[in-house]
Amino acid sequence: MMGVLDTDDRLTAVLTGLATLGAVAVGFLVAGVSGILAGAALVVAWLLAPPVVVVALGQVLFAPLLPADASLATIALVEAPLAAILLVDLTDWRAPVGTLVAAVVALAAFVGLAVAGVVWLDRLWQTAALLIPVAAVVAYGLHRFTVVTVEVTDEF
Amino acid sequence: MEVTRRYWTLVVVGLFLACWGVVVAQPLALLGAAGVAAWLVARQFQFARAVGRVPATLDVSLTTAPRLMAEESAQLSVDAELARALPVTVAVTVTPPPGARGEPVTVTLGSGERAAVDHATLTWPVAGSFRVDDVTATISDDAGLFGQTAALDVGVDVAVDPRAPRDVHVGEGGDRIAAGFGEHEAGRPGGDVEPAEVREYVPGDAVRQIDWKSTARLDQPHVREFEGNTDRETLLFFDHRATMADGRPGTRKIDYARQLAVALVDQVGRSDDKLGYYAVGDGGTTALIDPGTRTETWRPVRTHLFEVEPTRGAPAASDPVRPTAARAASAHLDSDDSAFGRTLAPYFADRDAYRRRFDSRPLYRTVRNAEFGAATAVWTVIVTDDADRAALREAVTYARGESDQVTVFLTPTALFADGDVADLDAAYDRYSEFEAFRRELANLERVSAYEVGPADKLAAVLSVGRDRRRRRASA
Repeated sequence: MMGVLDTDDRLTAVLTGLATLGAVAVGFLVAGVSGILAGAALVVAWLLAPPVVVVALGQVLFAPLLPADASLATIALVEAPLAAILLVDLTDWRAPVGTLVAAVVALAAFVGLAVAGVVWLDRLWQTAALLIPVAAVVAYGLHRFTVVTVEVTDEF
Repeated sequence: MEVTRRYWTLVVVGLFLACWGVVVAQPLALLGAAGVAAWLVARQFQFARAVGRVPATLDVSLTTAPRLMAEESAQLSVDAELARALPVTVAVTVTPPPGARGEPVTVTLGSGERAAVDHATLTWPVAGSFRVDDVTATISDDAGLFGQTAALDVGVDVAVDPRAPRDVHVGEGGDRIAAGFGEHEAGRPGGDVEPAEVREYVPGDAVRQIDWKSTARLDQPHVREFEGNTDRETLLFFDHRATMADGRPGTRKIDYARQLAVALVDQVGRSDDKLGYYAVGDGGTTALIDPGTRTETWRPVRTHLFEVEPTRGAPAASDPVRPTAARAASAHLDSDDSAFGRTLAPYFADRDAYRRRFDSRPLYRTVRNAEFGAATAVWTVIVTDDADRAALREAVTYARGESDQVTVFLTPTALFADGDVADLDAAYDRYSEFEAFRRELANLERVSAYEVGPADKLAAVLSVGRDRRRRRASA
């Protein structure tokens, strides 16, 4: 898991690069010059760091640029290129359909859960408190599935 | 499933985004945390799915020499193949068993690769039966987040035979015996032959044993074993007491005795005689295989012979006085009324003490306690050395009374003492004593006695005798 300068997967590198440029454009639309600077920082991250780090950095950089009362549509616009980076990175081009579907389902489930929390719960900490245990339970379930599949008896 | 430090780093990144979003009241950061969580779960799902496919698609085969000698090396080939390419890296590691020396060998199938092979050289220092079956598959994902190790149910058997001397001499007084031993008497039928079982061909089986119909039907070479309706029984007593360790590693008494005994067992197996087996250590009988047909006893006896090593025990006690000598002394002392005669008389009066003392000798005790069975013809074979001649003499005498024929194979201590025949003159003298003892045994009715040992050393010792005779003739 490396930056685009270290990867051999050219297709993923190009597509994540396009998504990163999309984030630059969105940054300009939402926050003007500051948005472009934030986007430029993302491009540097895209060159050096794994895509998931680019996405995390994007959240940190764009969050202060958005107004406090930003609409969900604005937030969705900012998130779209970052989500595209995640989806491209999760797609295995040797079996694109299965991996893309799994990525879309996972992203839709967790982002949907977060959006639902933001919309229906009073406070953001309640949404975080909902999101973290769900992720932990799903991860543990997958761990158990793997252990049972290969019949490893000394792991729990 | 194991997770890496990179995984935990990303978990921390997601938690940081969630906490930061809560602190600064920014939903965007919370959505970022959801995105990181989704990414981690999707990666884990992809890994779990790939791992689930590994058991059904991974085929690992191990290839090595099935049979070799101790201290020999053999190449172990590890061939790993996936029925379909998987988006994970599969590393198959084979760790040598404790009986082998060598580094573990790892075959790595990179993401998307389907076949790989690698080799390692293993050295087998110890004789015995081993199985190379410590095989694990370590699966890891391309992102370096997850790993899973699982044991694979695959292995290969290796039989390691002890190092065998190459110059085995079997003979009498330095002359090799020309004919095979243990063959049926002329005119005596070998008995009826009945099919016993069909089993898979293993290296070493004779081609004539192959059952072609079964081979064609089962698509693998199979041999048919036959069981003879013989009523001839061979009892093999194999001595592996401490004195059998005399000699250099690989050319000890026991190494020669073992090779002789294995050849004998093979000969008995070919003739379909019943075979029984007693192994004798310093503490007494260490192994007993009741007489049985070839299919019942041949393989276990052979296996034990290959694995047996000398025991560590105390040397034999001094020779007791033989009954005939005791009788003569006692008769003489009866007429001796002197203080000397009266003092010694009780020591020769109890003639039963002679046999009681031998009961503590492991070889004699084993022969005496052996079940000689009710076969019409019992052939007793004793493979031992001449270290405890009195006990051997009595054991042979006893076996003679229970058997139709007794054959003794002796490894002369003179040829193995101190691991070398440094002083050939002294060795010749000791060998002469041995030869006298061997003849004494061979002169017993229905008893044959042969020497077993290194041909080159024996030739060197005998050359001293020839020199002496030549010098005497010329003097």
